[in-house]
Amino acid sequence: MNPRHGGWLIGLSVVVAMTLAAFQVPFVPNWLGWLRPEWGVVLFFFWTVEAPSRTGVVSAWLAGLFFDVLLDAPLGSHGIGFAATTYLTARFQSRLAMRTLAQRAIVVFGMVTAVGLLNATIGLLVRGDFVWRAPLAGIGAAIAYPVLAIAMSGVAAKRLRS
Amino acid sequence: MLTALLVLSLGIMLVDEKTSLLRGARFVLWTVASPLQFVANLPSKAGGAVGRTLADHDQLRGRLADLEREVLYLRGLLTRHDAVLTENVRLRELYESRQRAREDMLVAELVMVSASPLTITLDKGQLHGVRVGQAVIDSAGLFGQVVETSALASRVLLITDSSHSVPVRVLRNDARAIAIGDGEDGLALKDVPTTLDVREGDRLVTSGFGRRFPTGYPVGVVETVIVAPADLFANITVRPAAALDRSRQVLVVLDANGTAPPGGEPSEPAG
Repeated sequence: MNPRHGGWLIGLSVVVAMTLAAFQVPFVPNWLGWLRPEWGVVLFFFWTVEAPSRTGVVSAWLAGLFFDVLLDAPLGSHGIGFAATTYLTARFQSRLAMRTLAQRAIVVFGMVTAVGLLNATIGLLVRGDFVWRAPLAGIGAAIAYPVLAIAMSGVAAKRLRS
Repeated sequence: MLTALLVLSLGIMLVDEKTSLLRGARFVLWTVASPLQFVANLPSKAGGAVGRTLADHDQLRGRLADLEREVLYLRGLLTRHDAVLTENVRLRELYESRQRAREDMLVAELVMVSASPLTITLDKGQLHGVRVGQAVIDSAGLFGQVVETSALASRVLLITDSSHSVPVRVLRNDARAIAIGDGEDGLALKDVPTTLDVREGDRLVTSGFGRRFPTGYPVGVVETVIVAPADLFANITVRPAAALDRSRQVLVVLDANGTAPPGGEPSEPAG
């Protein structure tokens, strides 16, 4: 990402995503926390579709390291999902950009669900416990993505214009 | 590039989980990211403050009266405790024991709960004197031990996590055992012979063996004792003394100089 062309906005949004990932919601039952979207995946999907030249698998992977320490996960476990989904998004960026918001939200659902399954498998291999919160995080992400896209698209178009 | 990152991820994940080689890297990354954790905790903190503000006035007066009574009662106990403590110090000096009589403690607030493994994140880190291996308690008993620190925050493995073990003794008869977390909300006593005298309702405290935990902190109460005729070992479950799912403020047990106690490494994984 190039800081001279609004890269700061992407950086700031990653910081906000990290904060949201660690967000503690008062008066809410624990199971509702399972709906928490995988904010990193949602955000890198958004930026890769909107500004493919400003994001990449390396920056996604590096951001994953900060998610790891914040959420008490083994180093590299978030990066693996972020990098893989960013790569796939970049690969099909031109096709995804033409799809409707609802269709992209379905793709986000699939990606977050797959990442959840991947992380659960890694947890099983590395820590010996399989924790998969079913597709709930995917549903949360599919709801969060259109909100994020509507809120950010205008700003992104304005700030990232080269 | 993607393949290289995937291989690198798997490599560092294994190194991070199985060794402490990346502890320095985690420390730096977490220190940078810690302020975000505090920001993320603000709504929860504000929620608690709003709850307290909205609490009924009479209810608060009643609670204040209760607390005043409790302080009076505890002061009374403390008077006796100080006398016992003085005698204990004298006796320990007689036996040339290096055991400290009174631990320094640091009040810390919980900022995040994590389910796998069962950990909590505290708002105090190395800058405040927190070190890996230190015990964490609440007003009722042992909470866990510090397993990771950044400059500003620290992570505590709860005693109920399945990888956590703590040496205990039964208060009634000094019988010794190892209490291991069941991965949910309780503990179990490991490898206790059926001949050992442990009963339901027995109170367990830290034995101090292994020198990882200070001696005498309540760990829990024996909930069930199941002895199958053919088994060599009893199946004993323990209810933790600490309010693991309710306490928002805990105490980190520092040593006199604010450093880790002897043998200050996290306990070995169970099993």
